[in-house]
Amino acid sequence: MNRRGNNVNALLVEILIAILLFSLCMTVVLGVFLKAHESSRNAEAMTDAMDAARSLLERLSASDDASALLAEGGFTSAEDGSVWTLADASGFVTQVRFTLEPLPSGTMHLTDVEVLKPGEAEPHTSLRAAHYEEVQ
Amino acid sequence: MDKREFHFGPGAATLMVVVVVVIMSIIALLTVLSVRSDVRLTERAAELYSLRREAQIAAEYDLARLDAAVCGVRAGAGDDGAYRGAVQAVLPDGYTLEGDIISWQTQAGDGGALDCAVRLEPLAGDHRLTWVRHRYTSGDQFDAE
Repeated sequence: MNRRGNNVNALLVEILIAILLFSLCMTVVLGVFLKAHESSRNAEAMTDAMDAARSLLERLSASDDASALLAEGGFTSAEDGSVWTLADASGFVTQVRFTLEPLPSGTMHLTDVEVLKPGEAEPHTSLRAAHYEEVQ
Repeated sequence: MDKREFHFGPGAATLMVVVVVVIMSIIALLTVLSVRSDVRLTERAAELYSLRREAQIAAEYDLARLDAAVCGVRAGAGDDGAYRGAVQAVLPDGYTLEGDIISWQTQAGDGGALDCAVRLEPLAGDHRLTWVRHRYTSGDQFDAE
């Protein structure tokens, strides 16, 4: 009888140790899963930002009236109309900047699209397009 | 009647925990590897697009350089034939004139190139040069065999 009682106690202790060990290991494994999920979400956000910037840049390049296109899209401009900004619901800020570069026989129209992530100084995505216009 | 009892012997619980933890660890490792591949693919796609954009910008500057050369000879040309001859003489290195089409290649950072071509418009036209081709050719060589 005493021997059977010892066996039951040993089994209970083993199960307790196994539960403890399992909890510790699962804490580490769940941490890894969470980190992977976070990385996946960052990659998704980066892809979305890149797609949005790329799409906007292509539409601006194809458009005859970039300002009207931006105004339709909800962008607001600075006084001189060279910088347009749009903040979306997720906190990302898209900024479009137009620059003119005079060249010997024409003008280079440069369009910069930057997607800024909230709380980060460096742009999340930065793309540039150029269009040369000859001067008669 | 032979009645067998089920015994949960010593070590069985630990063994089960070890098996479950190993399986979960393998799944976690595979998840991390998959996510890392996704991140790398996203970064590579962004990098490739940026490189091609840079090549397009470089092509526009190449056009500006060509236009500056064309602009310099346009005023002194009497007719279209003389104009084409004068343009041929002042073409920068890497540009070729065939008929009224001027073509060149702009290298992209990913090993590919932009195959560019513009039409040399007649003297009477409103413009000097008009884009006719702006095509990306990949640097990757694909062997079907």
